[in-house]
Amino acid sequence: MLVLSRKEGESIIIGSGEDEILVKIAKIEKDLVKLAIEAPRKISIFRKEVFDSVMESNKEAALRKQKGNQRLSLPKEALRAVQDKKTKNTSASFLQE
Amino acid sequence: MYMKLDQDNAITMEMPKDAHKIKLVRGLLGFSELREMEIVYDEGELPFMRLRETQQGPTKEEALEFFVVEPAGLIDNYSIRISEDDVEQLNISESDGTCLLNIVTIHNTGGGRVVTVNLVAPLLINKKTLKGKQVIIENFNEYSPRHLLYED
Repeated sequence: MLVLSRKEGESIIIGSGEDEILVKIAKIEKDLVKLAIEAPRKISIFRKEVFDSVMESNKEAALRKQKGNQRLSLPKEALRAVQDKKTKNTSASFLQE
Repeated sequence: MYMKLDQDNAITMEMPKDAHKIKLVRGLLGFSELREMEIVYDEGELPFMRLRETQQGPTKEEALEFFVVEPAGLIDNYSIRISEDDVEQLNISESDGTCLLNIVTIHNTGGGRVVTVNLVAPLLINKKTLKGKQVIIENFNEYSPRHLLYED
């Protein structure tokens, strides 16, 4: 991993040409560093801990179909509880599309 | 844009061909290979639906599936902010042309079962183009990726 030192107001550039990303140390106050980032639209920028929590949640949610074509199902009580909460007209609205 | 699934897991085609298939611009986070998926439902399971990998070839048993749910009427005061870039990328202009789905997780804990829903990263789908994306909402601080729906 490359480690380099920058002062407030200084920047680094990653990549070049149309893929260029500029990261500027906008402000340093106590234990908080504010970064200003300029990147092409196609580059997504995430806070890592948020990204990681979503990725982990996706992995937990993934169901791999079992052999023998067995259907994975929701716990019946959970299904009933949610069906009771969700108002009928909203749950059926898309069926008419 | 959803396809009905009957009890034997066979497909009942009621929709225009491929209308239930969506293209995810970056797959799901952690599953970047899931670019083409389909939304299917079983009436007994509603409001839950299944988002599953479009099945190709003989690897049918291997297909990945996720339970998803529309938040309307289920999550009180779910008000999210989507980044301009995401809106632009999906070509979304008005809310009625958009579909929102949240991914559901069934946790098997020692004692019982817990069902949660991810409110931080919903799937946003343009109904016209059927192009979708799992977006991280800008007000992610206000919601949980494991919002409790049900607990035994």
